Amino acid sequence: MNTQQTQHCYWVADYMISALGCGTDLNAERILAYRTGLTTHVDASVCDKPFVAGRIDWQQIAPRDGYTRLERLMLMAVDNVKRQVAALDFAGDAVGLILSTTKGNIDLLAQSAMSDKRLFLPELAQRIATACGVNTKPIVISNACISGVSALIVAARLIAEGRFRHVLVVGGDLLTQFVVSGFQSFKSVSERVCRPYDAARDGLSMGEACGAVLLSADGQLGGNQPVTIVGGAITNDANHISGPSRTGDGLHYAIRQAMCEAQVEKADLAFVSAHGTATVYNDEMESKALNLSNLLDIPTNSLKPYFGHTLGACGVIESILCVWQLRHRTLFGTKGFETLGVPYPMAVSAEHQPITNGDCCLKIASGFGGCNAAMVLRLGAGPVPAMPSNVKPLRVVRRVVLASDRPFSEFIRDEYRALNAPNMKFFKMDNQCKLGYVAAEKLLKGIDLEYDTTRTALVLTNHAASLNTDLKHQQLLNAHEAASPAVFVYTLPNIVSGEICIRHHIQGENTFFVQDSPDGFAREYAALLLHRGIVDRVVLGWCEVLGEHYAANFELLTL
Amino acid sequence: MEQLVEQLKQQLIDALNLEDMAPADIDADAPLFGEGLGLDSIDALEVILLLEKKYGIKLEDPKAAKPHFASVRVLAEFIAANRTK
Repeated sequence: MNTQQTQHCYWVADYMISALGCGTDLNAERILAYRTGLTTHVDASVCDKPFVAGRIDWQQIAPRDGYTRLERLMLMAVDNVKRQVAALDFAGDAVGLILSTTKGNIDLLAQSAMSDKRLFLPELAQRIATACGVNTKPIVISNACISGVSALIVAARLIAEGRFRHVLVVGGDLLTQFVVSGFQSFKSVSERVCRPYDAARDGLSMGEACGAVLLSADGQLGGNQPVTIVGGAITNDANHISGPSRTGDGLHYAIRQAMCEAQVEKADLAFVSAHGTATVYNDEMESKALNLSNLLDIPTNSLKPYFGHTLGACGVIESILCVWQLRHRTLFGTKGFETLGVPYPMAVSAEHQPITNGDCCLKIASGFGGCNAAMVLRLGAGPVPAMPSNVKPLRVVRRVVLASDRPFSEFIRDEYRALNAPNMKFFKMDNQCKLGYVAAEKLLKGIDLEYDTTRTALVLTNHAASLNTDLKHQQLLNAHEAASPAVFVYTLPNIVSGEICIRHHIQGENTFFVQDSPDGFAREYAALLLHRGIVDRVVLGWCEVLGEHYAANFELLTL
Repeated sequence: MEQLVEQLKQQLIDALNLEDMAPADIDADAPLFGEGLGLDSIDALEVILLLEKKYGIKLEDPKAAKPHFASVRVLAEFIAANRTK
């Protein structure tokens, strides 16, 4: 394997909107003043009892005829980023767009059932691209709560490769009855402002937000305090689809890989910006992972007490604030923190503090489906990274196609029985997971993946994300019935990745792209993972169920 | 009580998608979670929902609910003592 000089990925411009307000500096100022955007709301269209959450002040969001609420947020953020780089032409082949969201325009589902095309994430992404003048085909990542960090990592890889010279990353999610009812059914929402890592923590606070970042190979675009993305990794716990790992090993692997790629040591780290949702188990898991990574004494914060858990936006907006903290040599405190309540002694403080050591920060996130992401940001540029490069053509080890005109339930039952491998969990899965599970089972039969669990990647994709199950959840809400946790957990497309990772003990990269057809970006990305030596094998799969239309097309790829 | 135990078994099979299982396959005295039926934390939340919908019993804290999930019989006894419908 050869090595190849790659491009730096500079952090050029950003803009964020949260419950704290509009603009990166304004958000930072208000955090410095220990203000929180989390307040008690009474709004029966979201929740039938008062709830604590971080809501955007919608009067401050520019109206825009014909665009949805989320689109207005995203376009406002992008417009403000574009204003900072007025000289850049966004229309050429050099500019890519990556959208990060868990639920997109899900607020439209309550009224429109499935008839509104804007519910489909590729349609949302294309509307954003068209409105902001980007002509390349937008890429959509919907990977639960790591979506934002994933999008930044994927963007950095594409810039390093020279695939794009500039990438616009846009992350956003709304506070809706859809998600609030779901998280409440999980009993994971606190009735007070969330308190990450504290002994008294009792759940998360929901929020809505949007962030846009322009990344570029061109450091000249970004002013006199350059920050670069120097490493990133994505892993899976292979443990449970909603519960965090009991050991923290998946997140630890992501941290280890990201720091290794970044060529960064513990002494280089100024701080860790953690996920810190303030659920009992997430925060416990993070402390275990930081212990495994020997990073317990690095100052660590969670920004959730300021604007809540903002789902597909959180990785983007919290990374924006990482860059702000690095540039201003100031570490934000974790508001509300008093007494440490996690198994290992993390260095958490409620107070802001000056950064005295280290030029780098580690951003981590974890989410449903068992996914974890870690990314290293550096103040300055450092040496140009050299990456392994092996551009042999891909080899298809095996391919499995599942498609039929038969009713789905009959078809999948017969396919499952034919596997002759009973699994108590199978009939609990939603249809998309059943289809992906059976496809992966056939694809990997007799193939031993376990010599290093992190060396196999899962790159899955479809067009409808999780709309099939989203509709089931929405129907319960429309009928004024209680939300079902066993339904809600499947309202994320990447849960199928989690099910497959658990079954086959795959702990490597897993990213879910939502795209128009099987021939989209996901294949190119699978090739990148192999050529760059990030993994040795990729399970590349199209997995779509929408009513009685279903198809899976899975391949096991290697070099 | 036996009637409630049998009814509860069927409700668990329906609520938790225990495909291919009949009430007779469930040992009323075996642990519900971990081994046995292989139930997990999402199933526990579904059982809490079932208690609310079918028996009018509200359990806000899943951790506090744990002792009542020791077995189908223990759960049935808890329901008999606390049901509001």
